[in-house]
Amino acid sequence: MSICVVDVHKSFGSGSDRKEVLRGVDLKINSGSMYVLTGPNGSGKTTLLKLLATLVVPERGAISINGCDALKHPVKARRFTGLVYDAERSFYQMLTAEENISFYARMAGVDGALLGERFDLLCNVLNISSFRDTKFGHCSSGVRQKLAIARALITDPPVILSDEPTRSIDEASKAEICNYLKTIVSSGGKTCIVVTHDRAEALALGGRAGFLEEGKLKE
Amino acid sequence: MNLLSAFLLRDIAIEKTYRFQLAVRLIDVIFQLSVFYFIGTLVSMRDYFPFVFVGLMFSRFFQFWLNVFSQNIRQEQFWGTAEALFLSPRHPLAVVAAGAMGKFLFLIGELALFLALARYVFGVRLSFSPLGFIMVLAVCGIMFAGIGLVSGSIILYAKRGDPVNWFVSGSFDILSGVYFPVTVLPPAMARIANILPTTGALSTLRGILLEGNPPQLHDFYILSLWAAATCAAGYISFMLAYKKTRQKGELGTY
Repeated sequence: MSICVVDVHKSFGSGSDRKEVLRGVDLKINSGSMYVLTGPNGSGKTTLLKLLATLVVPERGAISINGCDALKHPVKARRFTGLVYDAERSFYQMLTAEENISFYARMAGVDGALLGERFDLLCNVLNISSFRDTKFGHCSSGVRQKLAIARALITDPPVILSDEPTRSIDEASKAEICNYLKTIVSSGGKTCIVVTHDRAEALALGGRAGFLEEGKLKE
Repeated sequence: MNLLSAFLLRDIAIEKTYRFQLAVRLIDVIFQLSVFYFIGTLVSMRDYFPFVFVGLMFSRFFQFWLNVFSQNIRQEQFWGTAEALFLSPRHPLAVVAAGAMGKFLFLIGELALFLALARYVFGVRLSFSPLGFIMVLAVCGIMFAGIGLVSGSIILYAKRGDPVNWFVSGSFDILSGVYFPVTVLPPAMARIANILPTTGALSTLRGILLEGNPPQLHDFYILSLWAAATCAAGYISFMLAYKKTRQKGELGTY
């Protein structure tokens, strides 16, 4: 089992401002599978991804990633995940695309020739080779989104958590990214959760699908 | 080492884009020393400038450690990169500590500039053993980093308004003998000043730099005890703030 979520509850705020975002979510995903998560705005999709990425902790429940208890050992669990999120603000504007990706890769322990090889591969797949030396602040939204994908994949994690990975990306690139994600899931044995509002993208990705509404997950 | 090299390479790349800022910081050292040199001339105290020069250098060192973690955390939150940093498979404290190392190298440059200007431009007679000087600064750095970590923890959790920084910084300037000897303070304040580890550390540093005194073992014991206490406080407060901030889901907000 790659991802195991059992009876997870999460709320934000306190007193009258308290909002219960997840109400007893259960989710089990095997290794080498694609899971597409949809649901209306504010239904808790991003919160669920952040819980899996250990950026947020639940009030109740259990989460394990690749057999690692993510609540007891969050640092270890992070070795197994790559999170695609917030492309607009989670990079250093004054650094180039390559400097940004290299920084995050080195932080995760990927350096030297391996870093170069992986970055070259991702530049080709994502079609961003010509933006390697462009400062992040000068990149378009689409390129920024592709860099967010590159950052998540540069460490070659077994579990990929993608929050609207093709937002702001042109149609042709969308199809290429979906195909690439499908390929690394089917032939690379990765587990991928994709949050999307795009019905066509959900269909293109295939795999299991879940619908999150009012904090409850339905499949 | 990957973590350190990642931050160093990042900070060098960032500093390259803000070259003017580096120049301003260096010029600031010259301005600060010049102002106190002329004040020393005005009050006709021959020994005032050497006295205050060590105080100013120590104060810069203290302020660096007091502020570096909180400033870094706040800056990463403001840039939107804080969550991405905490996503890395490293202990969060290691991430915050490594984030300070690039700026620490600039601090070393500033301290070297302080010493060079004092010696070669303002004519201060320095007769010190580098080893004793480095050892005192190292223990003080650990002690101050512990306090700075408490300050950083408050910023991580509360985002703004850090009473620890405000209180420690204010009392340091008045009570530690940076600008004037603690003997000029009223007796009650002087008693408090003498309890503070910074007062003793600064006095030891003045002895080392200006009189060539070797550092006393007794001073090291006291400073080491303070360093252990502040580091423990820093570690506990940071881990608590990190846990509470993750519970609130606000690692990246400011």
